[in-house]
Amino acid sequence: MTMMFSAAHPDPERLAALAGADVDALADRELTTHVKGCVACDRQVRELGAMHTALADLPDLTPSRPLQFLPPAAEPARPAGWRLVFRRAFAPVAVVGLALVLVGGLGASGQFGTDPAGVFQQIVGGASGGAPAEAPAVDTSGTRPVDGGDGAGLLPQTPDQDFETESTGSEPATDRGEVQTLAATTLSWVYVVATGLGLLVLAFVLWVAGKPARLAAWR
Amino acid sequence: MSDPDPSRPATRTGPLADETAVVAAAISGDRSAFARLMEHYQGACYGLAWRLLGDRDLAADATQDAFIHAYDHLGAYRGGAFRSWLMRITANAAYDILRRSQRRPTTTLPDPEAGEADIPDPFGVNPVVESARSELYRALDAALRLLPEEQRTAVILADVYGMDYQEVSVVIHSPVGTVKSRIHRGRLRLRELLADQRELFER
Repeated sequence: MTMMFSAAHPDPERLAALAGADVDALADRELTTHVKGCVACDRQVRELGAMHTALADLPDLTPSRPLQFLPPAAEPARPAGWRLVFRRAFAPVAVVGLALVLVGGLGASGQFGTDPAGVFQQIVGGASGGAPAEAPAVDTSGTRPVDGGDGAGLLPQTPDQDFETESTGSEPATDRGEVQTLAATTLSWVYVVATGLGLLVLAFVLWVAGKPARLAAWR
Repeated sequence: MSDPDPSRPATRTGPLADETAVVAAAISGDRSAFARLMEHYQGACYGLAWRLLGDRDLAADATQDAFIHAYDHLGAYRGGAFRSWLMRITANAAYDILRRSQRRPTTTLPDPEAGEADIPDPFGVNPVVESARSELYRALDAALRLLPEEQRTAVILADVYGMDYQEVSVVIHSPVGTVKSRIHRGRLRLRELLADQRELFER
């Protein structure tokens, strides 16, 4: 075969494309015509083609150690249905219960005074840096203060005072009213604490009921 | 599945005789059917991974990753040659490992030029079958390892495993034009590397 063209050889990458049966290269008439008439390019394409064929014949390889199909580890059992509900309800119930116990405890000890509205005022005032709401003062001459100071939250120490029979003047009546208010307020805080404790117990139950996977793992 | 004839060189793994049924069973949740497919194609997947990564352990990891991915995504298989589908997954798994090993080069790939080339014998434990073809395959695998990584990856995927430009482009996240260029340059470089062994191609 003699060289029929004196034109410059095509880009070697085009020859490599032709050897790999690239569609564009096969459709390139100028390229194919040149290769047919050029001994050097024809030989190059033949060698590249032989190599391409050999590459396509490369055998599969045997792993050095047999591979075993290991299916993905089973995911821990997810709580289903009601268990999921329990698990999700645990945190909010616990938080609310704890908050009620704390607020109720502080309230029962007289931290918020006898005026229930004072709770809000104190919390908001404390949070905003303002002065705490003024606790209502009880005029208890001869008694220990009912709130504030070192006697916070204690009932008046007047064991001999009979509110039923000695409410003839305006002052005893006021005292009786104050004490009743104080007792009612304290009782309300006790209810709050009791509710909080109940919620904490419920939260514990939810936590236990929502943890089947942990129990299963122990088996 | 019959054992390969030890007197003949290993070749490409063909499809199982009842592959369609086995694949359907695997898709419907039959783990033993999937295990059978994996057992059948592990040589094909491992070969691709080894050629891309050049390391036995990494290749085994890539093959295992590919199996797990295939198991998780069997529902995405839309028919056609199961081998091709699995090869694409393996190529992706191996290429991911290749990228990771380059970002964190704590695992050194063996340097083929330092005489550490770890080229497995494609004919397993049958040295009797060492033949001209075997020699050719060894020469090709050794030459492939000497290619720049980008060219090697493109040539292996396209020329050895028959992926088209578009498929290679997806695996290596490069434009088709870049893929073509790498393949063509890789072929030319490979030819240069094998210049002293041309007689192997003429036998």
